[in-house]
Amino acid sequence: MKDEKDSSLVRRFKKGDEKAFNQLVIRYQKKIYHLIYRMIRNHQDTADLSTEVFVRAYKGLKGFEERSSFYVWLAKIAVNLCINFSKRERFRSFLSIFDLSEKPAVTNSPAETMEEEELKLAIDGAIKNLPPRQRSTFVLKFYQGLSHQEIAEIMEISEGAAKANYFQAIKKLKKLLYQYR
Amino acid sequence: MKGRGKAMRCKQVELLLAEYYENSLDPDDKKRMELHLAECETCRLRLKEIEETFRLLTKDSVPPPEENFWTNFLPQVRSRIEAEDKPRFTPFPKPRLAFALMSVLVAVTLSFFLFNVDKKNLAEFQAEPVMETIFTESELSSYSDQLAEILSSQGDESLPIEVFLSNEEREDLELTEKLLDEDYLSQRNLNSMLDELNLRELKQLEEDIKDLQIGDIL
Repeated sequence: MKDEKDSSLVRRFKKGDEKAFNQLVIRYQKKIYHLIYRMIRNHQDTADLSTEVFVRAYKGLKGFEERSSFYVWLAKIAVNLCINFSKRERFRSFLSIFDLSEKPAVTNSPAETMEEEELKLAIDGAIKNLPPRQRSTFVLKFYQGLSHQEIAEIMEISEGAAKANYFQAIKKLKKLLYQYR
Repeated sequence: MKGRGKAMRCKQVELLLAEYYENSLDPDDKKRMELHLAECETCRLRLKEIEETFRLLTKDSVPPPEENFWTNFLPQVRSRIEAEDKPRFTPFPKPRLAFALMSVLVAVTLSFFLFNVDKKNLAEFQAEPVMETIFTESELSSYSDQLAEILSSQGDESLPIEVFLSNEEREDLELTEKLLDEDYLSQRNLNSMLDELNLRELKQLEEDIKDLQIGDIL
């Protein structure tokens, strides 16, 4: 069934229907990939983390109590993974100060114009510059269209704190992207 | 929000500009925001900045992954799940259990060493010269016999030894006599009596006994 509700698929999976889980993966793989990419900003890590999200979801789905929507629950797994990943990356990049070997520039589409490429790098840098929790809030609200209440649930913070995180993220992005406006 | 119905101030407006731009404000706040924006140029400028920043951020697209990425995605997830489901031999399948075991081992090892140190200390303490290490039981017994013999030969009229002794020496002598008492030896109360003395007193006793010339005194 194409339009079967998430909750119905979850219940089927809980009863042992493995195909129901496959349907959930297919339904949300792109959305999760996009969420992670917006936060991590590179394909390889995004691909690995996306797979990890669904592996963890598979393991934890039987314990999912359906207090929130399935996607909010799934996004929570993704955001936690991304935050932990970002923390590790920050530590690695700190260590890389001592690594003098030249790193190749990563470009996903060589056909992009210089201006677009420059803007893309600027946005990359600006978003990466946000602290992980502000970054998550911004991506969930701006790119994924989640409500502050849903974000609060994902981040395990109050709705007010979610709004404050979003406000601070926008303030920083406005400042960081000033010259490109 | 707070201050519902009242005119908004710039600070309040600034907090809500993004939501206003996203059209996610409730109708009352939206109306008050518009009233404020109509009169405040600074806030209109801030709103413009947000619009421009959001416009830039909207241009940021997610590059599509390689061609067969989505075809392979589900099989990849499935193979990962299967791989993790397979029982793997690990000496410690549960990290918490391993940690608990390690803690117990460390505690046992530490207590072993600590116990050894205690034993050493005890040995050192016991090595402190006390009565039993200066005189053997047979020696003490022989001194006791000698003392009894001398005392009986001197008779009741002889002057008590205590007369020639200072207070300290008298106390030492009393103690020595007490220690030489057969009852004490037979009951093996020497240790219990020595237990009542502290280390300083024991050392003092040891020195005194060494200096004490029992034969000369008698």
